[in-house]
Amino acid sequence: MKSVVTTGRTVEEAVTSALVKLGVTRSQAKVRIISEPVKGILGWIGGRPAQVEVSIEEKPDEVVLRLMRNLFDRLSMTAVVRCSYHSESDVNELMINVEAEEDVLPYLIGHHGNTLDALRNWLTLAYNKQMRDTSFSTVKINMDIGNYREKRKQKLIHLADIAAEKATHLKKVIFLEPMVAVDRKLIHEHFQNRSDIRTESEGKEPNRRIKIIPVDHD
Amino acid sequence: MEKLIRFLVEAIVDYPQDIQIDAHTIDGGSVTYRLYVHPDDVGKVIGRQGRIVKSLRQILAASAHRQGLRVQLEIEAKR
Repeated sequence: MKSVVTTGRTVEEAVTSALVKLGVTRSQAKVRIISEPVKGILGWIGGRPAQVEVSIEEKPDEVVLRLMRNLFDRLSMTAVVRCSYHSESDVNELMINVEAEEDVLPYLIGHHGNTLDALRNWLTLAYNKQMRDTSFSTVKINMDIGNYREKRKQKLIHLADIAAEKATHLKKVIFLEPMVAVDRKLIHEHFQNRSDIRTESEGKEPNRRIKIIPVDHD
Repeated sequence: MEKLIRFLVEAIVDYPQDIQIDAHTIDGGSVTYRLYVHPDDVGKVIGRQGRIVKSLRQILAASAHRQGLRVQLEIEAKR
């Protein structure tokens, strides 16, 4: 967070000079009083000026973009980072989309999206650290790189649809491959409104898998 | 690589001024980085079940892999 420490004869004066330095208005800033002014005996002698710290309250997307920009600098990679809120009314969920050159994407995504998860994990921690005492301290951060998550989602749903087709056609219970919890959740939700099949998860992690059960199975 | 490690760690610890990084090159071109952090920050860098250090290693590996390098990261408390 960008901040300056200033002094002045009164708290108000110190704040004003800080705002001028930062180039923002009062409503965009957060003021912390370090010390109140103390009046000296003869005018200034023995007196102490007011000291304040004024910082610019950054918005979640600004913080995220700054962190990501710095990260890509250190990684010596060029990437375009976009950050959007889940919805206009809900600023507590952020979606971060990273676009980069074809040749660096595999490094950023990693095997099964491992690096993507690591980057999101780090970003969440760095964000929480930075925004701990602000009004935006609890934010959920989602991330996608080169549309990897989105494509994977489509592929999973496609596979699940084929399996569901098979299940209803054969009137038999069909098992999908073992998947991680988030992927299973996606498929459960996808079939939630179907009346001809229902889904269940069976088995122990990491081999827990989805069972597609046709309503009229044998 | 050291700059990247420092940046990643500085962003998540409470005592960034205590961060210290040593590099040891082992035969075969693999580099081991030993990261010293304030004792109170060790947990923050490692995380529950080593989740955080795993993420850090993953990011470092990705960066190293792109440059054709291999790196290791070890965490220690600064005395």
